Amino acid sequence: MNNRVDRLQNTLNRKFTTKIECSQINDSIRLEGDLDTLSDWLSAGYLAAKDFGYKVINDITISGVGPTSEPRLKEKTQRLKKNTYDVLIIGGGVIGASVARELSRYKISVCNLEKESDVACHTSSRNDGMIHPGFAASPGTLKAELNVKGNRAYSQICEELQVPLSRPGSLMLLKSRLYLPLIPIMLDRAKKNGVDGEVRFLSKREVRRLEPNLSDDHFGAMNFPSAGQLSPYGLTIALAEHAVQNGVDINFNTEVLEIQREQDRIEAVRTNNGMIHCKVLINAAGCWSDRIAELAGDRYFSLHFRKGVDCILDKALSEEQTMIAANPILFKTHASHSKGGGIVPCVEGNILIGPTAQEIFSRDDYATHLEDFDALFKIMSLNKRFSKKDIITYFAGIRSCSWNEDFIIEKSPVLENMIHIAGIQSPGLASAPAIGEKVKGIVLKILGDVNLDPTYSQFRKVTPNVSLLNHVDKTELLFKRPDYGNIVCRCENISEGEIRDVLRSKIPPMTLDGIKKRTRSGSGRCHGAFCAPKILSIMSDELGIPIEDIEKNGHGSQIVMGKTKQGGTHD
Amino acid sequence: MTSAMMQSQILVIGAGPAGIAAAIAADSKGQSVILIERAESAGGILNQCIHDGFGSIRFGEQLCGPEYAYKEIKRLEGSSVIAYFHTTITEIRREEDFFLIDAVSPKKGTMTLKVEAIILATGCRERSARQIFLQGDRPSGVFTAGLAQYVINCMGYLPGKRCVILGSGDIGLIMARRLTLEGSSVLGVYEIQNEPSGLSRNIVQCLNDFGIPLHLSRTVIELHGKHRLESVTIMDVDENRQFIKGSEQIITCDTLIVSVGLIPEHDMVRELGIKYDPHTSGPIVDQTYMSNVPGIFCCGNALHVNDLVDYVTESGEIAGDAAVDYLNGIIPRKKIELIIDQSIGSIIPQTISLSATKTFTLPLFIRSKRTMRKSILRITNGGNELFTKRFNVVKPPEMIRIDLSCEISKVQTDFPFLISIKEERS
Ligand SMILES: Cc1cc2nc3c(=O)[nH]c(=O)nc-3n(C[C@H](O)[C@H](O)[C@H](O)COP(=O)(O)OP(=O)(O)OC[C@H]3O[C@@H](n4cnc5c(N)ncnc54)[C@H](O)[C@@H]3O)c2cc1C
Ligand SMILES: Cc1cc2nc3c(=O)[nH]c(=O)nc-3n(C[C@H](O)[C@H](O)[C@H](O)COP(=O)(O)OP(=O)(O)OC[C@H]3O[C@@H](n4cnc5c(N)ncnc54)[C@H](O)[C@@H]3O)c2cc1C
Repeated sequence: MNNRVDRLQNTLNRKFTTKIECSQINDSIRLEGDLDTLSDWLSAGYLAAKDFGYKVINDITISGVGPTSEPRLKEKTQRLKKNTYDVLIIGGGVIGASVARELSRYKISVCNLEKESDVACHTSSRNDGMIHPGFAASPGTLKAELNVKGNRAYSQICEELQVPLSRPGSLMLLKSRLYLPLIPIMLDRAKKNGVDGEVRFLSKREVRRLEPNLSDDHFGAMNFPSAGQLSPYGLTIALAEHAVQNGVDINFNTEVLEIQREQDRIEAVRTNNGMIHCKVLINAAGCWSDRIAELAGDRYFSLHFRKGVDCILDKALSEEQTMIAANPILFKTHASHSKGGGIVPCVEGNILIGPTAQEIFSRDDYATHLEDFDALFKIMSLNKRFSKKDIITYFAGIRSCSWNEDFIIEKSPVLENMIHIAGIQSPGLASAPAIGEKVKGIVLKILGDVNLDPTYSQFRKVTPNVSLLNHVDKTELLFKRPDYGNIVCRCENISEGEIRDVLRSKIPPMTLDGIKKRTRSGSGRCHGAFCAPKILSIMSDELGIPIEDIEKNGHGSQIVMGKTKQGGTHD
Repeated sequence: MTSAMMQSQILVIGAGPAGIAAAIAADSKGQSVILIERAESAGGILNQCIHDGFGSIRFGEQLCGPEYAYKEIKRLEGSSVIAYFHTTITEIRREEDFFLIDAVSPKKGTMTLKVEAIILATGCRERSARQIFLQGDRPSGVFTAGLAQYVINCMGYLPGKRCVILGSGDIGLIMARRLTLEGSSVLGVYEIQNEPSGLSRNIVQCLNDFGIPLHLSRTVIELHGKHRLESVTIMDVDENRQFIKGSEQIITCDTLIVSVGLIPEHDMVRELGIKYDPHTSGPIVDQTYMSNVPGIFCCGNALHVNDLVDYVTESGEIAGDAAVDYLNGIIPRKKIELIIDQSIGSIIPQTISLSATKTFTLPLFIRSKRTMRKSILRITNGGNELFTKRFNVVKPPEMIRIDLSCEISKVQTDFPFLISIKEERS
């Protein structure tokens, strides 16, 4: 055992001029010291991972700076729904929502805690929405296993949730002749991972026939017909709504600040809004999941963070490419642990380009920079029809990564009733259904005797998507609900009725961004310049709050700052 | 439940000044006209422009936007145009020699229209912060100028208290004054070009009179603030609009007003095969303002962005008259292209259709590409000079309007018209 530590200590001594201290804590290795660059910091972590897998606690500072701590939420902003549950889930991302929905099939009480004012505020709304085929991860990893299972599960889940899913299939373009001898190896990997559909090599000519606008700068492509795409926040919201429909509670604006244990058992969590007791605690806190482990006194892994920037092209280009296309990165560097970016035709009709990959020392720095676009333009050039002027928006997301780059999904090695779900980077979305299944299994084992809930309803209740209705149905509907005839968002053709519907849904959005995620209003080419005022008025009316109080995304992000001077003559 | 089915000869889409003028013009020639407007009332963008400066050419007086709109709406009410407000078009289909249009409204539910000609008068939309590649965080507190104007003038709310204005277009300048009058502090107007893009009178009346600084060759590059805007980074650019390293400066503010241009709007007809002009972002038209798709006309800001509403009304009249001629079967024989050189930013119309008449007179709207003093505008055809005019100064923000008259027998119809502006050497 100590051999491993000594060996690592020697390697680190040789590699770095400053002293990096290694110490073993149970099964994990802790690194301490100070290094000059992020790249050195990463190297140290990866070196440790060679022997210790994900059980690396990297506490090295970079030029004296440690990870920043974020401001915490204000105490007592709202009442908790209840104070005792069988299962508490920390985090309302796609993972927390998927776990909640799986558990809602059983006769147990379940609650999600989310520090933001809505679900899908972090990584789960900031990604490509791709349902990967499950080829990229090495056979034998959790990523590979859960991705393939998740991909398979989506067809049925999307039907139950009424979430649009496309399966355009993907093309992995081979940029060099050197890749051609690897084709049998790739086919073998696809088989080992159990990738669905007929995976095959397509010649350059076949690729051209399928996608005539792709640049010819390749030597054929691997084709994965099972690759799919959906709206990641649409899915997360639907999962959460379905869970709520089946009895799950969600407390928003509720941040877990402390975790109380009685020896090796979790008793309760303390939030800014009060104490909640539970029999099982699930850590699905995304980029903060190492912090949650620390709060539980169970810190046996740490994370690092990789930012990805995407840009979105105008819908007018939707005909120019139908399949997902990407360049594989077959020779791995640190940055390429997440699949290199590609062109992703989205189910809503926009084309998405990205993501980039850049290691950062922050959990929530979503700023984009001009430099990010060099890589995006390069990806964009895979299609001859796309150019810079087609970009309507861009965003960044952050992947949380374990030190061996695989998912961590397990019962705590020490605590009897705590489950950690961490390092859920890409393909986390694609794997979410399978992660939910797996975690459900662990929960049921901890709780013992649990019965299925006979009142569970299989399908999510949804309201009409008016622009998709045929003329007759639309006419009938508008007769009953005239507000469906008042178009509020002209870029996406969203009516007042649809906005009122979401405000009356199982998880009513309290912010402008929440409306946008549910209806797409404001996500077209005008970016809300026309619809924002109308939406503010409808929100104010439905929610009974003044327009001045409505926020973009919580935390004091009000849209307007009070009223104008009243009366008198103006300008 | 049945859906209403209606029929008319001409459909005008949009009841701003352009659409009103087009509808009245066609109506006065005895055609049946339906006018559809998405908003609850007519007037278009004029309703939120409570400053004055409208109508000096048409009415010989300085009106504010709503006053100009009022005068036009009165005329509309006196006509037999059938107007539907609060009605949104959801689809336009082109059949053999007519169009089918689906629309919805809260009052009437769904309806379908059958028409023979369409006049687009749908105005324009604003270019967004994302379209000019602003980077950094994405907080609240970032408004396009038109949105800020609507929020203040039509809703009665204040966008923010410490404002930076990006872009020196007219709306941005007007908002600088408006925000100041409402008690916000406007820290400055930043313009990436080395000359302002708004009208000179607005620089004087909206900035100079209020002591608001105008910074040229300087732009905002990044926004900061995870929730509400907290500050912006500004940077200088050189003659080639490249950022000058080291010139970064951070300005604390809670609001950014983006006034970086308008784009003609015609998303609805995109699928009908209309050809667009990259210079105007509107359809390519002849002097009747008909696009390449027979029966589809375009006027006002949907055709190209205008700085004077008087010209907008005029363009509506031209399109309305021409749509009637089109329905009466007056078919142009031959097209001549108008070709601009690098001195010119854009021109309307882009082609001239020759009909049976012996002479023609038509207004040309031209924007120069840059400011030029003591310059001469020339139109030639197959080596012959058709038109010249001297200008003391031409500026991109101030559209040039000329009347071109020609005798057709003098035109070499196989050659295009070449248009250029040159500075005269003295
Ligand atoms: C640019 C990019 C592109 C990607 N593309 C894809 C793709 O195409 N396909 C794919 O499969 N995957 C993709 N991924 C990965 C995928 O987005 C993630 O795996 C997935 O969203 C992770 O979800 P999550 O629920 O774990 O995290 P999150 O969505 O971040 O949810 C965690 C939640 O926990 C909450 N929380 C944290 N701490 C607390 C606390 N103390 N109290 C209460 N709440 C707390 C947070 O507020 C947050 O909402 C991509 C990722 C990025 C960054
Ligand atoms: C802030 C600002 C300040 C200005 N200041 C001056 C000034 O001082 N002096 C001056 O002379 N000019 C000024 N102008 C210019 C002038 O007002 C405009 O050019 C003119 O109003 C444009 O008229 P329009 O009819 O083309 O478009 P708009 O006025 O924009 O009207 C278009 C109409 O079409 C409707 N519409 C759009 N799409 C649809 C659809 N799909 N279905 C139904 N209806 C639709 C819209 O709701 C709108 O009512 C200013 C413009 C602005 C924006």
